[in-house]
This record gives sequence, C-alpha cells and structure tokens, in this order.
Amino acid sequence: MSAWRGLLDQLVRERGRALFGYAYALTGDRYDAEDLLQDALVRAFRSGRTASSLDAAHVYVKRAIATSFIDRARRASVRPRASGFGSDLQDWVWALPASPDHAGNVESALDLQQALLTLAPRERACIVLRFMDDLTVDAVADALGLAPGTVKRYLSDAREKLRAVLPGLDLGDVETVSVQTVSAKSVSGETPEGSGR
Amino acid sequence: MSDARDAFQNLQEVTGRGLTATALYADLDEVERRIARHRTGRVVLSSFAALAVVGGVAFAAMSSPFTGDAGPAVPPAPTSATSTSAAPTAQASDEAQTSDAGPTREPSMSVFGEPYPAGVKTPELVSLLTGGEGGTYLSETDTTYTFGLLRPDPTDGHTVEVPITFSKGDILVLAATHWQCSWISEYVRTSEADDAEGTAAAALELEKFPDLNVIQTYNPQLGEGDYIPRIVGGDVEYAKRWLNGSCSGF
Repeated sequence: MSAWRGLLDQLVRERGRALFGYAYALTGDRYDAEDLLQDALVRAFRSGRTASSLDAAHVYVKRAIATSFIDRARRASVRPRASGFGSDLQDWVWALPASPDHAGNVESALDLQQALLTLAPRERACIVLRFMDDLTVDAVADALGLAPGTVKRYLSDAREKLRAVLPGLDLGDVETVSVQTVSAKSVSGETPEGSGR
Repeated sequence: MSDARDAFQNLQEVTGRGLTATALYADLDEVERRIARHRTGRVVLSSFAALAVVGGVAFAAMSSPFTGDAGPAVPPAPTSATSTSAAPTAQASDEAQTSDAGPTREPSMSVFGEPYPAGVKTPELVSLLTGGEGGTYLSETDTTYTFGLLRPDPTDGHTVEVPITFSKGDILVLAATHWQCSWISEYVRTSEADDAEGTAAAALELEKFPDLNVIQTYNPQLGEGDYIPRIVGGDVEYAKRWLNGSCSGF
C-alpha cells in the first residue's frame, strides 16, 4: 500500500467520525456531508506536500471541508439547488447507533443543528470553526480566507441568531474565548501526501 | 445554560456516528480512484507552442519504436535561465534510447533534458505509474500517452494488458518529480559523505525544479513552498523525511 493510501485509510478509520460530524454540522444533510468529506479528502491527498502526522492531515482535511463548504455555498447562491436542509435529521440521526444517554445527546444535537441551519453559510462556517475547532477569530479568518473583521461580524450575527433560537446556549464572548488546539497554519502548504504517483 | 463548546462537541459526536452508514465508509475505493485520477489523469491545458513541440516529437517517436529505459521521446523542454542543459530533441531522445545499451559514464538525461545523478538511469515513464510495473508504452498524441498496464482479467484472473491513456502533462510532471527525488537522494548521500562538491551540485539541480518548463507549464504549485530552500539549506533530516514521504512511491 502506498504511503498516501495508508494515511488516507488511517485518517478515515481513526478520524472519520469527527470529520463527518464536522461536515454534517456545516451542511445539515448526510449526503452533502458525505460529498463534502469525500471532496475534502480528494483535495487533501491529490497532490502537494507530505504532512508530518495524522494530526496534520486531520487539520488539513478539516480546513478543506470548511473551504469547500464556503465554495459550494457561493456557487449555490448563484445557482440554487435542492437541499436536504436538515430534513433527514429526525429520521436519520435518531437511527444512529445508540449510546447510554442517546436520547438526551441526540435531542440537544438536533436542536443545535436546526439552529445552525438558520444561519447563513458563512455565519455557520465561522461559528462551527469557532466552537467545534476552538479556533481564534484570526485562525477562523485564516482558514476561510476572510478578513478578521468580517469574521467578527459573522460571529456576532450568528451569536444573536443562535441566542434567539437557543436561549439556553451559553455562547459567551464569541470573539475572545479561545483555546486554539492545533493551528491550521501548522500545516499550511502541506497536504497529507507528497506529489506525484 | 449549556456551554457552547460542549454542545458543538456533542453535535459532532452524535452526527459523526453516521459515517458508518455512508457509502464512503463502506468503500474507500471511490475516493482512492478519484485521488489516483487526479494524480495521473488530470486534464491540463498546454500552450500552442508546447503542443507544436510535442507534436513534432510524437511524429519522431512514431517513426522510432520505443525500445528501452527512457520511455517515449519527449521534448527536452527549455527549462530555466539557470538550466545547464537544453539538449535538442533528437539528442535527448538518442541519449534516452541508448541509456539501456549498457553502463555509461555520462549521466542519464531526463525526458525534459536535465541530467540525473550519476548512476541513476532514466526510468521508463510507465514504470513511474502506480501499478505500472511490467507495463509498456503503446502510443501518444499531442496531449496524451497510452500505456499498456498489466491488470487481472476479472473473468478468469489472468493478467492482461489494458491500454490506459494519461494526460501527457501529468506524466511529465511525474517524471520531473522522480528526477527531483533522485537529486534529493543524491543530496542526502553526498551530505552524509561530506562530499561538499557533490552536495553543491545536487543543490544546484534541485533549485532548478520550480523553473523547469514542465513544472511551470503543468503544475507550478509543485515548485512553490519552502521545502526546496529548506533542503538545499542543509536540513538533511528534513530531506530524509521528504524521501520517505513524497518520494516513497518511486
């Protein structure tokens, strides 16, 4: 097995759920999430430079998911298409493999997902990167190719909308709460496998 | 009141479990195929000038059966201003085709006209492809190569030769990447042998890579980034990691 296939396999096996959940949070549709993840994997592995670790590959694919999502949203705004828009949440997420506190977890996840779907795509991407990735405003801006000021505005708008829908959700100060775990810049210019072949 | 971070993590965890219900999870082959297609079959646009040169060489190649190590004749593209080699097409072709006639003191020339390190023979282009072992060159057009690759016949399991067409640009980029890897290997070897002259020569060749005509024409991104300066700057450990990663497929 070539190096990139090995890393791809390991990434999907060990980090696939997190990546799929990430894509799902952005799209709210399982098929869109699957497409997004697949596109991001292809984008990450089709060429480029060797990532130093599985973590680096993971960060790269997450970044590719976010940017692909924004790209798709931009295209969709020009040429709208039908979307599940959360329609599969009720019948699909409930059918997922259960955990001990399945009902409570799923209930709150559904609430949050439905609330996210009320946001504009860029607002959604910013808030997901901010809270699911623990990225700073600057890191979100870097990942999405936006100006920090623009990200702040999206975050602020998103916070107001989410507060209106989910008053029990503590969003704190979306601009200053930060624990950036892995910087997207740490793998800037890298993709999980080398060029050629 | 629930913490937003916990709520988002819960959402990711709950919906992430759905991965196991996807076609992607059930069969990663489609993703691998798409990646492989990108790596070997991207459609590229070449300039009229490049097409004219390639077309001329293709004609020459048709009149001269492919015979050996070097693969089909390819124009020795004019490289950079720093290039030390701009051999005419016939010369590159001749050198390439004689490279399997026996050991030679002269360096083998790449299909794009740059020398390989001493002792490294120009590979058949088909051998650079994943699964290209035992394959053969069949034909080419201005923009494509067709190779016969050995694949198992699904009906009876016997190995059969399947003609597969690739973008010429991708194959040339692949050849350039192989050439680059050969020089990185040479750089590491000479560095560890305290061969300063050899190391300097390898660095000189590696620094040409971003400006190679095939790279500039077909995939300039491959020449970007700081990896070449880092390698030629003396980071041998980094060079070794590069060999084990990006170059491991050769």
